[in-house]
Amino acid sequence: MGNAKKVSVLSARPAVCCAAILIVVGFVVGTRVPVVLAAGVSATDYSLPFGGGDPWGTAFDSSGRVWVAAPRCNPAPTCPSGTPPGKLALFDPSTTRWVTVVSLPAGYGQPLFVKVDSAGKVWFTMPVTNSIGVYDPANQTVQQWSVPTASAGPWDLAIDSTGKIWFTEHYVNQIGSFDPASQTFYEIATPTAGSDPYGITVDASNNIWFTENPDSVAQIGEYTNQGVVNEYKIRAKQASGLTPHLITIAPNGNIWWSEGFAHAIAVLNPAAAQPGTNDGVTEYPYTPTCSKCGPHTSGISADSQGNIWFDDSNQNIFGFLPVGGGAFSIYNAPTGGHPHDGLNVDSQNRVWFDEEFANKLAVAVQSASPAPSISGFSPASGPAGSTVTITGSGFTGATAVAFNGTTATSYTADSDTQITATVPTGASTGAITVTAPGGTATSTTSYTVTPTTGTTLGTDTFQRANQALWGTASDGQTWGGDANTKSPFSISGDAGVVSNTNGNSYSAVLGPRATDAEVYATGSMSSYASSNFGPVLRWTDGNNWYKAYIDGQHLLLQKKVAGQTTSLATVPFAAAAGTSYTIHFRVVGSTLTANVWASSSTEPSGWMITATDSSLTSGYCGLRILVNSGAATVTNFHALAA
Amino acid sequence: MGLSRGNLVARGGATLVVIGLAACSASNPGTNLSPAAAVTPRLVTPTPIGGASGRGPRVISSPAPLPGGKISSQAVVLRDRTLIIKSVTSQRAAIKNSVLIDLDIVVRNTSGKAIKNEAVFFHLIRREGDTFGYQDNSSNIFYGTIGAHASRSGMIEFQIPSAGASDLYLLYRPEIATETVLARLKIG
Repeated sequence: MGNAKKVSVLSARPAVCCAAILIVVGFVVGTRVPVVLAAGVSATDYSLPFGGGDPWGTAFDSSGRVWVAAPRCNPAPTCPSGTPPGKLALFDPSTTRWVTVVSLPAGYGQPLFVKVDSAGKVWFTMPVTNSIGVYDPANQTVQQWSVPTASAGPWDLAIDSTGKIWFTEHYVNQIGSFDPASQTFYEIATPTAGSDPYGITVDASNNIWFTENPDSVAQIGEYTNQGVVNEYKIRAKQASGLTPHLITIAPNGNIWWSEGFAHAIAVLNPAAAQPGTNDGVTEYPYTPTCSKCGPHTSGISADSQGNIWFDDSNQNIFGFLPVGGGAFSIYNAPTGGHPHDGLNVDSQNRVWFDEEFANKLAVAVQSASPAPSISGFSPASGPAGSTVTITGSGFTGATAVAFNGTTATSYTADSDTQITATVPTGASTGAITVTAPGGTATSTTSYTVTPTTGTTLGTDTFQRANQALWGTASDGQTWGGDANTKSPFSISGDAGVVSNTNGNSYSAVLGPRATDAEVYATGSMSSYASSNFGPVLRWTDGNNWYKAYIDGQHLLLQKKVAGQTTSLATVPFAAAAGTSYTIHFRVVGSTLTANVWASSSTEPSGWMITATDSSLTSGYCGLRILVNSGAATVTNFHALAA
Repeated sequence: MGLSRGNLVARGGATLVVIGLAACSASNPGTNLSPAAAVTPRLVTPTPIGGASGRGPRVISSPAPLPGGKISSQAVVLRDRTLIIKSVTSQRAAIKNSVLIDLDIVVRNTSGKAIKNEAVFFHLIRREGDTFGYQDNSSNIFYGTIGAHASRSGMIEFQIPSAGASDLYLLYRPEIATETVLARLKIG
């Protein structure tokens, strides 16, 4: 539990009447130069309508207009004495004009960060005067409150769903909150001393997340909605220069932050997080392109397309990383004037940021994302856990990959044209889909999900009441092929019976489609005269299959492809009518092998017959039977993945 | 991770000069100082309706060297203690892109009660707003309680990123919050 202090603010100052001559010299109104950047992003910037603003924090009102805090000095670490009160400026994207400039009156400090509440009131922090303030555009009033702890350094701020104002106290190990309704401050100390919290944000459950900034601490703090303070390490060991800076929440609930001088952004998955450890933390460094500038990863914000945007004040760049991984996309800031802590993404996915030393507000607009498409994938089949390389286009920023509707839990957008994905557990054969900012692409062919080796695909002991057709196997699956449509099939005497087929070969298949598989089939023939039986693999229909069978004199391997039957191999094997035999048929890759033995004995060691063929790549397991006199009696069937 | 980089286009802007007259009254709390021209923002001086500002840390932005001391020396006089910074020097660190900032310092207790002297009281801070507290080294005898009218002296060695090594301030926040001070450091 954090050390919370409650302080009520009762002081109020009567309205002050004033008159002043205000002179603003040398400001620039609405100056903008579009800058076309790589990879579908264009940026523009706008000079503040007054000089020397040192714009810092930004926030959006309900109309999508942008409020900018202008301290009129660089308040980090502090403003020179005599610095006048700062300003707030409002920019309207729809007209690309500055619409309002609010000059804070005497007695106020320099606004640093800014947020807009649900009523449109503009809240801001003033670390130089250890205060927070609020401007109400409705009646053009302003009010301020001194933070209870002396020299606390109120810094970044956030507003929770109840309207409470949360802020970091950067000069001490505390965060604070202010309830406008009760005029009450609360302050919560972190367990770690000297934590100097910097950035702060609120998640959908009103848990408060903040960065503990100094490299001697370098942790992520959480003040839960139950009043518990948790601290999460970023690295297992302290590291000089690791200064977690600002913090944001991605649409999927993960916590992202910028890492200051570590030129990286990082993420915490709350589901995997353990207080006191860095479990669930992943850091994503980028390479500074200006070797003499030094880095400073500053602002950070998430768009709705799954991209984490950031800027680097010392490198004069901004860019993004797709949440799902992949490559950084990085662009020069339009003016190169120190893009810093004011980076925020609006509801239209426009990326706004301050250019502090250029006295400008910049915006980067993402062009419409191209629709993704899938041109192919490799391999064509495999079990859960396999890696599949998907090729196509429009994959940048991909947010989901699915196999026949089952979402892959692991995938990486290697580039705009390639994704590497892992087949998820529970996936079934079907199309692959990729969801990216431009939409969802569906493969035109199916990925075949094959069972893992040894998995039973289908089994039937035929121990059921006599019936026409074969019905439902003992494993609960329904026989397919001809077994439930052709009258020669029946169950009789706890066996599957196929009676005279009048010169036709009939198929019975069971279980899912498979690539590599094997079948054990046990049964007997009342006569081998123009008759045979045996298992089939990679069966698609009556015209496409591999078969191993006995005809009374031989064990044979045969294929039928597009209706064309071809013998692949034959070895002598004398089978007696009325005797039960077991045939073991296996296909792995392009190798077909089989054994046969009297069911009263054991399977021979080694394979009796082998052939190689690559005509068929996948299909069902089953039996194929030709009975011209008498009947075939099948007592056991077992198919497995190989 | 791959890295792509866009083009930088130099740009300029136009400058306007605006002179406005501001006036307000209790019945008209906000004042529009400028006509609602298409390109001119409305200038508002809002009416304060309550509250008072607080006080931030004491700031020493132009430190004076100690008499006869090094250019980087200064004395930070607080209510119950004085920090005597005898020198501030920097040197390249063994770790790439890092420097070592060495503070040769004395903490003198000027009160009649014991005061604390802990490593967590000493941070560095610069314009990006980040604080540095990673102390690569310090004198073994420097930290610890300081008795009435006693002092402790020693060396604090911060290891910080090279990019953060200019315009440094010492953020000293002892056990008494009102004694917090930001003191600009001259390195030399």
